[in-house]
Amino acid sequence: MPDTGNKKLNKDQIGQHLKSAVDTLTPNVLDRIDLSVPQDVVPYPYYYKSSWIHRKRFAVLAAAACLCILAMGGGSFHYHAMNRIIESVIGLDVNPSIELSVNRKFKVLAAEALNDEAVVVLGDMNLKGVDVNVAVNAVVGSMVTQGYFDESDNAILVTVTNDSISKASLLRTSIVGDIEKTLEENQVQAVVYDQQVVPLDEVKNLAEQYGISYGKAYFLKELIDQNQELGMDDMEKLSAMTMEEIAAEIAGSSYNLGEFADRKQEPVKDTPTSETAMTETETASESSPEVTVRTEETTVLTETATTAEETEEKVRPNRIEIDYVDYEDGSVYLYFVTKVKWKNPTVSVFDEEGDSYAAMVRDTSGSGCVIEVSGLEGGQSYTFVLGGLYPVEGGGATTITGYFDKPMIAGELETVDDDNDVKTTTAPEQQVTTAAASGSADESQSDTKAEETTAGKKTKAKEMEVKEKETAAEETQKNLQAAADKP
Amino acid sequence: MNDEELLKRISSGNQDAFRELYQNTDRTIYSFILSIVRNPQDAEEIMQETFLKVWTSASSYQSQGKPLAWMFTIARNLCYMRFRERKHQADIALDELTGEEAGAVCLQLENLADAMVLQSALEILKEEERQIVLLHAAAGLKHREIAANLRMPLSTVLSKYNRAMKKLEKHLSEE
Repeated sequence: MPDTGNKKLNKDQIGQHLKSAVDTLTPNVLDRIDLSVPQDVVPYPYYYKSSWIHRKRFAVLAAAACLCILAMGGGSFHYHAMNRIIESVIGLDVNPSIELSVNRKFKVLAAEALNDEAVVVLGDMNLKGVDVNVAVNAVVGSMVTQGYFDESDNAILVTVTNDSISKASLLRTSIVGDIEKTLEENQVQAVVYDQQVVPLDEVKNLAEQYGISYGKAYFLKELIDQNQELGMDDMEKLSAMTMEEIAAEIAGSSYNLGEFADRKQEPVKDTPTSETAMTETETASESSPEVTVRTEETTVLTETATTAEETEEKVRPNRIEIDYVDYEDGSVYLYFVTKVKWKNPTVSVFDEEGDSYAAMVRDTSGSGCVIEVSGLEGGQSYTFVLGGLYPVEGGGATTITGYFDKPMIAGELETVDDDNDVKTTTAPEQQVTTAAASGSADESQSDTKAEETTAGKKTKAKEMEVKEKETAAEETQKNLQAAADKP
Repeated sequence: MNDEELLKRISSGNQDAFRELYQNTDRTIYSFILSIVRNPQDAEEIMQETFLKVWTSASSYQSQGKPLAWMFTIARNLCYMRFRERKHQADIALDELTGEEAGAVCLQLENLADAMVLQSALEILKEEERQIVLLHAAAGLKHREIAANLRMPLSTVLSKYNRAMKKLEKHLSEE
C-alpha cells in the first residue's frame, strides 16, 4: 500500500486522509461564477404566494382564532376538540393487522381491523377511550389466546406513526416494553420488530396496492431497499406472508435488516439482574412515557448500574465492547464493537469529584448511541454509566462504564485569562495555559491538559465565590511578590 | 451572519453576501457533489453550476432554517441531470457510468494514501454512506447537521457512518 507503509489505518486516519484529499481537490470556482447573470425574480411578494403551505398556515391561524373565541365563550370545547384529534397511529402486525388511532393524551380513538383475522382478534372489544398501553395489552393478549404465538419463530411488528420523532420514540419505547411484558407473562417467545415512521405517500400506495398495513408496507420496503437480492417484485410474495414467515425468511436468507436490525428486540427472561431493571422501568411506564424517561435517568439507572455489574461476570458470556467515544457540542457519540440492542436505556454522567450531570440517551442504534449531557466544564474528564443494553448475540441486560474528556475551548480559556488580569492572580502557570489556548481545542487538550483543568476549576470557583477569590488573589499576589523578592 | 441571512441578502443582489456564502459552504457542497458523481472533474463543473443556481434562484428560497438542505437539493438535481444527459448520450446504465469514472481521483492527488482512501470510499461505499462519510470526515459537518440537511434520523446517520468506516477499514487493510 503506497505511503501507508502497509499499516492498518484506523478510523481517525481514514478521516484525516479523506479530509486532506477533499481539501486538495476542492476547486475555487468563485471567480468563474458570472454574477452579472440576472437573478430570478419572484413575481409577487412571498407572503401573497398562493401555495398550499400558506393556505394551510392561514387555515391554521383561522382555526386557532376560532378556537380561541370558542374557548373564551364555551369553556372546555377546545380541550375536548384537541383530544379528538388523532396524533399517533400504532400498528400491530402478526398476521392479524390492527391499527390503533391515539390522541395526544394517549387514549385510543379508534381500533381498526385491517384484515379478517384482525376482526376475530378484536371481537367485541371496545377500546375507544382506553389508555393505549391497556389497549395494546388487550390486543396482544387476544392474539396469544387465539394461538398466534404458538410457533417457535413468532414475530410481531410494532409501528408508531407520529410527526414528532421524540413523541414517537417515547410511545414506541413504552409500547414495546408493554408488549414484551405481556408476552413474558404469557410465556411466549417472539421477536419484536419496532419502527417509528412518518406518513409517506409512496408507502401508503404500496399498502393499498398489496392490501397490507402501512407499517408492514414500510417494513417490507425498507427490507427490499436494504437487500440488493430483493426487488419490488418480491413485494407480492412478502406481503402475503405473516410476520412469523417473514422473520423466518429473514433468518433463513440472512437478509440485512438495516436500521431494523437496531430495532429488533427479543424479550429477555432470564437473569435476576434484567428482571430488576425491567420491573422498575415498566412500573414507571404505566403512567406516561415522559415519566418513564425521567425515572430512567434517576432511580432505574442506579439500580441497573449496581446489580448488573455485580452479576455480569457470572451470568453473561457476551460482553459489550466500546469501539470509541467522541464528545462534540453537548453530545457524547458512543460506538460499540459489539452489536447491541436496547431496552429502556439509562445513563448517568459523573465528573472526577463524583458530581453528576443531567444526561439522557437520545439516539440508539445497533452500533452506538448519542448521550446528551449538559453543564459540563471544558478540560475535565467524565465517566458515564450506561444501562439498558444487551449484546445482540445473547446475554442479559448489561451496564457499561466509559470515559471521555470535554476539550477546553479557546473562549473559555480567554475568560480565565481575563479573570486573572482583573483579579491580578498572575501565576506563571496560568499564563502558559493561556498562551497555549490561542491554538485549536485539540492542541490545548493534548499539551496543557493539567493546566487547563486547574484553570477551568478556577473559572467556576470565581463565578461562585467572587469575594473569597478576591481575598485569595490578593494573598496569592503578596506571596508571589514575597517569593520574587527573595534572592 | 448566518447562511440564512446571507441567502436573504443574495436574493436582493448582494454579491458580497454571495462570496461569503461561497466561502462558508464550498467544501461542503463539493464533498456532497463528489459523493454523488464520484468524479472530481464532474464535481467541479456541477459545483460551479450549483453556485450559479444559488445566485440566480436565491429569491425562491423559502426560509425554513435549512439553507444547506436547499443547496444540497440544487446540487443533487444537477448531478442527476448530468447522469441523465450522459445516459442519454452513451445509452449505458447509470451504475456502469459512475463506476467507470471513480478511478479518475488518483490522477489529481499527489499523496497516494489520500488518493487511495478517497478512491476506496468512492468505490466501495453506497451513495448515502459516501454522502455521510464525506460530509462528516471531509467537510467537517456534525452528525446532527448531516441528519438535518439530508433529512435522515440521527441514528441512521450514526449507524451508516460507523458501518461505512468499518467497511473502509476492512477494505484498506486488505489492499
